[in-house]
Amino acid sequence: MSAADIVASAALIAGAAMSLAAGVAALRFPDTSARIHAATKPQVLGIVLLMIGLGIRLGTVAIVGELLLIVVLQFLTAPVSAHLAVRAAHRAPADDAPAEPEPASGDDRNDPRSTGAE
Amino acid sequence: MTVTMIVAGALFALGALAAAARLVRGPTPIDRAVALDVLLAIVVGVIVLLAAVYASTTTLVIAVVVALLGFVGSAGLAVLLQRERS
Repeated sequence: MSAADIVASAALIAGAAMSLAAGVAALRFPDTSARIHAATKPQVLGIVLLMIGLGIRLGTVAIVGELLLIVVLQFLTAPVSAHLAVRAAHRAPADDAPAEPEPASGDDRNDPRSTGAE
Repeated sequence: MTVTMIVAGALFALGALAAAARLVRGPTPIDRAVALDVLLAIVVGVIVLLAAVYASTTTLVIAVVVALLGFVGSAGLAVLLQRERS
């Protein structure tokens, strides 16, 4: 096993660990927003690490171009889909999400919690 | 490279199991869409891992297509879920 193979293996395993982190986060985090947040971020880094590993392992110009295409597509599309998912989740809070506090009215003179003293 | 394949394959398998569990359980449809997204990213990762282990490049086109398909799927599902509610 050459040194390049060892570096490529390290990158591949790190990318797989990132995918594992995304999966575990999607399973374990408490509410929808946290799950979306934690599931969509490591997956981009994982893909990039896997592409680095594959590029080191194969190392021809044509293949590196194709890998760059996948990485650029991932960088362009992952934030968009995450944003769409978060927006859809935000407009309809999930059952298990903590209830949002009442919005401040801006006029707290009648608020029994305010003492009136500054 | 065999050790790499086993270790990385085990990590991918655990991640895919976790994402599939969320896909089955997920209380809202959006959770399921996100779990599907993670699952498709893991599919891309497995394709790339196999290409690296066997030093073959024929399957990389599938990785491109699956990456695009994952975006279209989750984005379309998110837009659709929002539209049918309003």
